[in-house]
Amino acid sequence: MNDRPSVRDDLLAQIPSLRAFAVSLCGQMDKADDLVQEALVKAWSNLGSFTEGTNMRAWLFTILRNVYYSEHRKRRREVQDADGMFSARLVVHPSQNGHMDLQDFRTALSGLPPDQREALILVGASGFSYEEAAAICEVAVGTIKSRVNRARSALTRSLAVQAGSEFGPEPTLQAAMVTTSSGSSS
Amino acid sequence: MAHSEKGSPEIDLELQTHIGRHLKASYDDILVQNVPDRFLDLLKTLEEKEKGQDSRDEQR
Repeated sequence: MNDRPSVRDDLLAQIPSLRAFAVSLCGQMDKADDLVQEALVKAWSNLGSFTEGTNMRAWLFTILRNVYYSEHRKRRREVQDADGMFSARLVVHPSQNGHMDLQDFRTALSGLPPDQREALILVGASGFSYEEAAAICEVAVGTIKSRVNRARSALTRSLAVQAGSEFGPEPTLQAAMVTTSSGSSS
Repeated sequence: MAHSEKGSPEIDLELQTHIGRHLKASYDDILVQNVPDRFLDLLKTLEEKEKGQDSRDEQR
């Protein structure tokens, strides 16, 4: 009969990865879901340009990324505000032992230049090869490799500083500093 | 490569492992969530819209 149900199932199967990638781009779940929605609508109306048997996930990531960056250019100021919210909105796990926890990591990650963060996530979290990530970002493979390396070095440096600071100020002082900085944003 | 001038290779390696683990953890938090209804509705709507168009095309 017609092949739509399977296409729909294929799209459906990719939604979790698309949402995760969208959050990594824009830093906010609700905004991320809007991006995913727009990307799905675009994908659906451009199914003709998808080559059967090729990587649908990579194809969808490319569309999602294009949706994000075309909006990003349109609303640069708004997005910069959103970037400021990146770490604040992504709190899922409470800090457990204070040792390079997820929150520290997210803060460090949000401090990376967007192109490096994106490359690192595509390769390190989404599980794309360097070649696939390069195709998604429309740059050379070497560019992706160097972005990933720079991102890893920057995160290593920034987490090393955080790890080092644990041997410095007392935990209570650190807690006080954290409370102050989050309390000032109201 | 991530050989930094400061810090021992062991610490670098440990941090690299942390980075990899955290990177996956951040991402997997979202991966394991159920697909929100809005997307199920969206795909259904898209599908129905297209079915409507197809049948109109066939009538022509």
